[in-house]
Amino acid sequence: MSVRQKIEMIRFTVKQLFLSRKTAMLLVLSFFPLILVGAWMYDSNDQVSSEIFSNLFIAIFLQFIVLIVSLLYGTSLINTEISNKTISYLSTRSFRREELFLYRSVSAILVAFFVIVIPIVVSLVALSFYEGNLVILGKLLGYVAVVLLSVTVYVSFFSFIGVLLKRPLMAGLLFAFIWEILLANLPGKIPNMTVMFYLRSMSHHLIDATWPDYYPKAITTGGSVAVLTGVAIFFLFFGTFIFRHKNLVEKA
Amino acid sequence: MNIVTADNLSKWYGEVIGLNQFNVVIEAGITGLVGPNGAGKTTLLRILTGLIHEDKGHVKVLGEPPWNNPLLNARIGYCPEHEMLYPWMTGIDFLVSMMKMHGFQKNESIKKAREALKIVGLNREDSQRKIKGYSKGMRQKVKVAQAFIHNPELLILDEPLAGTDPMGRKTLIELVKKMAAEGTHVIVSSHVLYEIEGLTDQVVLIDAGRALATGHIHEIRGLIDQHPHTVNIATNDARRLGKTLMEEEIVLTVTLMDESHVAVKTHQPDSFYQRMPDIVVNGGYEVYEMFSPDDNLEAVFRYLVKK
Repeated sequence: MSVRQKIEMIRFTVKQLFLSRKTAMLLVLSFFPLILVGAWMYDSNDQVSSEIFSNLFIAIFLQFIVLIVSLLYGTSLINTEISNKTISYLSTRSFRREELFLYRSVSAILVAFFVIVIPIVVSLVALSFYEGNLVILGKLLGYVAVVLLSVTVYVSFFSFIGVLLKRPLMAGLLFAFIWEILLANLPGKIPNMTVMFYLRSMSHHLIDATWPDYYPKAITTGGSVAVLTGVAIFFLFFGTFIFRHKNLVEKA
Repeated sequence: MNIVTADNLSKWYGEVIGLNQFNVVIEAGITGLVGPNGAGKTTLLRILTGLIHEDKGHVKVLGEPPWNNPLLNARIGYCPEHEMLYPWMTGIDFLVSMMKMHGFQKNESIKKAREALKIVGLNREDSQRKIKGYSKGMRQKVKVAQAFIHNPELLILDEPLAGTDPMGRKTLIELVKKMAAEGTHVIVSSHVLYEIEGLTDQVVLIDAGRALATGHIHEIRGLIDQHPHTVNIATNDARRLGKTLMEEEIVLTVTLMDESHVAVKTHQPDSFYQRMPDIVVNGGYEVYEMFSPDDNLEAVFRYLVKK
């Protein structure tokens, strides 16, 4: 696959996702916390501290919006092409199936990242100017890093189940809300098995998010990045492997 | 030169057989793949284009295995049976994007896309509209254009004439013939033998996942002509068209289905299809769709299978 083909595949998929109805819906969803921040600024006499915003980020963005956005993009990435039968146009171009899966996944990661990061940047800028305090804005790179890594891991996982299962949405919802939210909030060492634990560890170090008392000790940012990158590569690799062997039409 | 060789090819969908120990050698030129609905034509074409994998047997296309083979993909053009396209794109954007995914440069892709759209008869204004507003015929044109735009050695067309109007059918048949004359090999499937007859003499008869016969179309024509051939026509004025058709010697019976549909029976379908464009133009009719149910072909297949 030449560079030109890679660029075109990414351009095509990004445009396809941005122009889809689900993106409009997800943008509304991801801008919703901005309304909360606005109302908070309007109503409250107290300053919205960096710590409060970072906890808002964990509760609303990380534990809900990131999961929903990644779920909807990841599971539909290949599945919709198969159910719409348009996969026949993409899979008969001159590149390998592995490349098709990989570059569509990269595109979905990019789109999910922008859908989520824009309202966060807007919120941070608004808060900083409102309070005349650039401390919160100073954490911007930390937020961007956490969002980027979180969508990379989750989109990789949901793309994987999108090619593995015929109806991946239900399995994805169970993973998101049972595994990543319920288990990740249990006391003891169980949360260590969730992606959310490592994202919260990163958030604790990079954006001053509160670390719950009942949690095991937060691991270092470097350790979290290594684990999360490994998980993303693992699911991208297996997603590619399954897609390579998958019949792209279910019946004649 | 063998374009396709299939050796004991089998494919199952659960308990349903798609192909059953299918053997065939397809040679250069235009080859028609003919069989009733559910015979296994589409399954074969999907295996040839690498969309699905055979469960048993071996297949080679242009001397290469088709599964996950990007070099072979560059040499093949595939027009699927379904009408699905990307509704958010314009016709020309879709073609340019498909070309760029084959590795062509932007300028060349635009130039080729414009040429292809001109060939299939989609005007510039329509090509710059979103596909979601396209008629069935316009979608068909874009679908065919994406298959040949990169100058493939082998063009695979799955039921390309299904549901086309007489003019669209004529344009497509001429296009396929022209491409074949320029050296492109073509495999075209249909469940209506007379559609294929306008394109080629060389056919592969397929039924219940097996290749029943391979050879010259005239050898089975005699069998078909024993059965009256039915053609259903959707038009703006079925009553008047029916009257006109009754005056044609080649027409046996005309049945008015409703105010916009008429069914015609003939023993000479080839002559009938040749006459239709003139009848339509001279009478000022609008014909939306013309198709033949596959009763006749199934009768012949039953005959062949019994044999």
